[in-house]
Parts: sequence; C-alpha cells; structure tokens
Amino acid sequence: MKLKDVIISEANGQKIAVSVGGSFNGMLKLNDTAAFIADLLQQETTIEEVAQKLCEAYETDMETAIKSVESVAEQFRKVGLIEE
Amino acid sequence: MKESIAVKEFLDKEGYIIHRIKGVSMLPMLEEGSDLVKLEAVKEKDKLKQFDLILFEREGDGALVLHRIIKVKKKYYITYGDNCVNYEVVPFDSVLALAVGFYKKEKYVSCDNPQYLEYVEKRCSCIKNREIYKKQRLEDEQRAQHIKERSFIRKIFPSKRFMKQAFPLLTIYPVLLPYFWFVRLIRGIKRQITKK
Repeated sequence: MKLKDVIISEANGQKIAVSVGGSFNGMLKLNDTAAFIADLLQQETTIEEVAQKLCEAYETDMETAIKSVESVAEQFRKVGLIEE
Repeated sequence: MKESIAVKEFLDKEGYIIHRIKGVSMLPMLEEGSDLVKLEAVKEKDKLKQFDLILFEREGDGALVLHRIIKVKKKYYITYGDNCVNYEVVPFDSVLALAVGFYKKEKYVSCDNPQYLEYVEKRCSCIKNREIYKKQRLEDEQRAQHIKERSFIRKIFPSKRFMKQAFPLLTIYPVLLPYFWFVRLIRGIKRQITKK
C-alpha cells in the first residue's frame, strides 16, 4: 500500500497533501498525525509497519495506532490516492 | 466553473493554494501530471511586476489561467504562457493569486531561486521570436487562403491564353472573352447535369 502521485507540502504552517494526477483536484489538510502517516505512506508499506512507527513516535498502543492509520488511509482511498 | 469557484473561495479563506497543473501552456516549466504550483492570494492587484507568474480569471468562460506577466500597462497586464504564441490582456481585477513557488517532480523550487530566475530571463527574451513566428504563421495562412480563392476564380474565369486554345475566335476578337467565359460555364453546368 502506498500513496499514488501525491506531494506532501506545507503552507502557513499547515501540512497538505496534493495530488498531481488522477481525478482528484483538491487538497487534503493534514494534522500532525495524518502528516506523519502520509509521509510513511509515500513508500510501499503496510498498515502494521506504519502503526509500529506511529507507536514509537507518539508512545501510543498498537490498537489505537492501527485505527489511526486505517482512518487516514481510508480518507486517501476515498479520493483515489492509495495504490494497494 | 465549479473548480474556479472552489479555488477562489479557498484563496479568499486561506490566502494560499497549492494546485496541480492542467494543460501545456506553461511548458517546459510546469508539466501536467507531475508538477504543482504554490500560489498566494494577491491584495494589491495593480502592483505586480514583469515576469510574475499569476493566476487570473479569463474573461468570457471564467476559466482559471496561470500565465506570466510580460508587460505592465496602466490598467491591465499583458500575459503569455511560457509555451504560447498568443497573449492575453488581463485587467487588474481579474488577478487572483501570485505564484511563490512550484513543485517540479516533487522538488520544491521557490520563485526567488536564481536558477528559476535565469530560466525566466531566457524564456522571456524569446517572446519577440514567438511574435515573429505567429506573424509568419498568419501570413502563411493568409497566403494559402488567397491561393485557394485564386484557384477557384481561375477555374470559373480561366486566363485569356487558356481560353484562346479552347475558343480560337478569341485570337481575332479578344473582346469576346466575357461571352466565351459564359459559354464555357453553361457547357460545364450542362455536362454536370448530363452526368447525373
């Protein structure tokens, strides 16, 4: 699983995900957690791997981390930005 | 149109936007499918400079266009796309945003970057060539049209030399040329009718 044709940018202190191709023309505003997850999703990875890194960075439990990763991945998936 | 409204609303609310590229008018600088442009909303729309890259709303269809200011006039800008031969006249009020940077294949480049400024200088120095090319192309098209029209007229009203071969009487009475044009035309029409 990875992000497809997405650039993570920053403007006015806000992290943003923008697609360069595909049918989605908009921008996705990312909070800190979503930005962290999105950065990891720029490379081919799995939900468990991303959740593991999230646990290490934010000192949270694996279950919560997996839920967060799935939630963020779902938002990207809805607009066609995830490549499975 | 919906996208134009959404972009304008976002610019009004947030003061910036990062957007993907559509079309080929800004090649080679910006490429559809791989590059993005970062824009900031403009407050003083009449204070922009030559070679600034601006987002404006095109008159007529309301499309959003990202092109470069080539000349600053009293009430408007003259803009060109880096890959265009036609220019636009952009009233100050139509300007929405100014490009402050862009992502070229995922790498961010600021519009203050010296390499970018060098590119702009080189690209804009050949605007004169683009205008010459456009003028030449227009002249070629007009010439082709003129030749087409002349061929049509020549078919209906052939030259005196040609007509003398078809109607030898014209050698003695050249003044009868219009009459024999008419005769030839009628014969041609009759031939067409007979064929059908």
